[in-house]
Amino acid sequence: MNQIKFAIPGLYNHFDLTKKIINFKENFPDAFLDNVNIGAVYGNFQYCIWDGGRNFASYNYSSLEVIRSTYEYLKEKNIPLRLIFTNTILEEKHLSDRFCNLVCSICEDENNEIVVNSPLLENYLKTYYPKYQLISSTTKCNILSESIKELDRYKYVCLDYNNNHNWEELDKLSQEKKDKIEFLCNAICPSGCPNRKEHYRLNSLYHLSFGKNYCIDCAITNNTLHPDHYNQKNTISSKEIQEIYVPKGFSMFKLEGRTLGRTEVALNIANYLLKPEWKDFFIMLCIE
Amino acid sequence: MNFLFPNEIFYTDIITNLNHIFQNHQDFLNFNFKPSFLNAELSLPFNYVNGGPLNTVNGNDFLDASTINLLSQKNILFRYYINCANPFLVKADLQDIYTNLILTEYENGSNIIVSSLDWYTKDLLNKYPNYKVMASEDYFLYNDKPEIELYSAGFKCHKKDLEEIKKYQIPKNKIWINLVDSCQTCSSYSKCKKEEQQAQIMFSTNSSFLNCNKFNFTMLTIKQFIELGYTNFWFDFSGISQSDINSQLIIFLNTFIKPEYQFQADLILRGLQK
Repeated sequence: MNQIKFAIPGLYNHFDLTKKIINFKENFPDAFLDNVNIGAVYGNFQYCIWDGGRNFASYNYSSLEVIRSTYEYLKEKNIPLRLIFTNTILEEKHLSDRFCNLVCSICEDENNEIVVNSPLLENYLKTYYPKYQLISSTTKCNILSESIKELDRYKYVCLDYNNNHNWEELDKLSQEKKDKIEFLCNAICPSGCPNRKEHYRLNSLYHLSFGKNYCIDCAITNNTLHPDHYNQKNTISSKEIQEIYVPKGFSMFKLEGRTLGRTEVALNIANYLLKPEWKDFFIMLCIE
Repeated sequence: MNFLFPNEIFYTDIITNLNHIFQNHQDFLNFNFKPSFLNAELSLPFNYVNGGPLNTVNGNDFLDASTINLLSQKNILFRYYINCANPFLVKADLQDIYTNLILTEYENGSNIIVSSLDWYTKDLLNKYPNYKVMASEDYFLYNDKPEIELYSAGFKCHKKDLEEIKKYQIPKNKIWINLVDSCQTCSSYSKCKKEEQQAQIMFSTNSSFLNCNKFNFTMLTIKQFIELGYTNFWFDFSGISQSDINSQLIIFLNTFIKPEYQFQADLILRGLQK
């Protein structure tokens, strides 16, 4: 059976939950779907000006000791640590940021990954932190042909979710290219949202200005547990992964959730990674 | 006389209550003091630039821009002395977004920057010309050829350093003397403070001061300094935990309040009585 990997949230927010999930997999391997693995744990240590994808209701600065212990824990578990450095409007002056560089220097090894959007930052990372594997961000909002052109340059390319079901093009890809594509399964944004790119730009601005609020028209997001969410055109269900994507040769999937609550993250993990008969027990364990 | 009070963010209640005494209970005081504003140090949480003790930066929620904006304007009672005095800063730190945000929000022509490095002071003054700068208590340790004319807001110092800095011929009205002789006489003080500042700039929570088992502060009396012609004083709260309210109160009571009024003043400072 083809193995599939999920990148899951919880590198900093809800890291205790992430540990529970990893320990659960170690102690109850049969609870997980047979072909499912944790491919990476992603997120950011706060407060990180290179972040851009998500804003948070509050921030609590993480310390050197927290960053080190997180890195060491995931290294011991042999699970890639994935940093999200997707700020879309970085300038040269932002590259010297002491905290972001500290995070990079502590977590740098060949197993770990950074998601990028800005070419400026990408070049900087290649020069100063060359061990990281780079991943192209969904926040680029690329059309599929542009994403396909990027496949040679990155470990993975996370597609714009509007391309999740573009089988006319996806079916044409070689297996080598399919192995490098990552699908965002449960985006909170509605498909075809015309404000998405602008939303990411404003999120980036928010980070660089340390949380000055902004307004955007139609910044509609959906609760990922709402029944309607699974009817969104861009959503990929667990069933679709197993019955369509895996047989077609795709193996890398990302679960959204950096800004979701603990219970919602646990439920998403249960829905995508676990066998049905284990879900209730797992969720009880996670929220206790 | 002038007093520079500790980190305003964390001591607002006590200092505000103390000001209530200054304004309304002159008979409690050891000397005449009815200020029109209060000088207060400002070291925002997790601003690694500040160079103060880690107990002012760790374990606190990060302050976002709106909060900083609100704090900078909330009370005209305070003149802020913004600590930018970590001696391990390098050129790239001038670009630090958080520090620049704070300095932008607080630049009102009356607030002050506290710095320990001449090159950093010059660059900040170029960028923020409406500030005056005060030299930190570490200043003479880190500048081979001190450019003392940069520090129009004066020089913080410890009692033990007064003799040493005489050679710079700084007028006494530019010198601010620390009234809390806590760590300065300890043989490990310089090493300890350096470790603290290095930890801070690395976002570490490993605090030399808070891990110290020798810490014991001593109050210095104002009288001895007034007789020597000094009129500016500050309170070094390094090593005093923010939760150690008793130590904080003892320092203020002994400095400002006549013994017979200290019990009543103690209640006012704790917010238990007006």
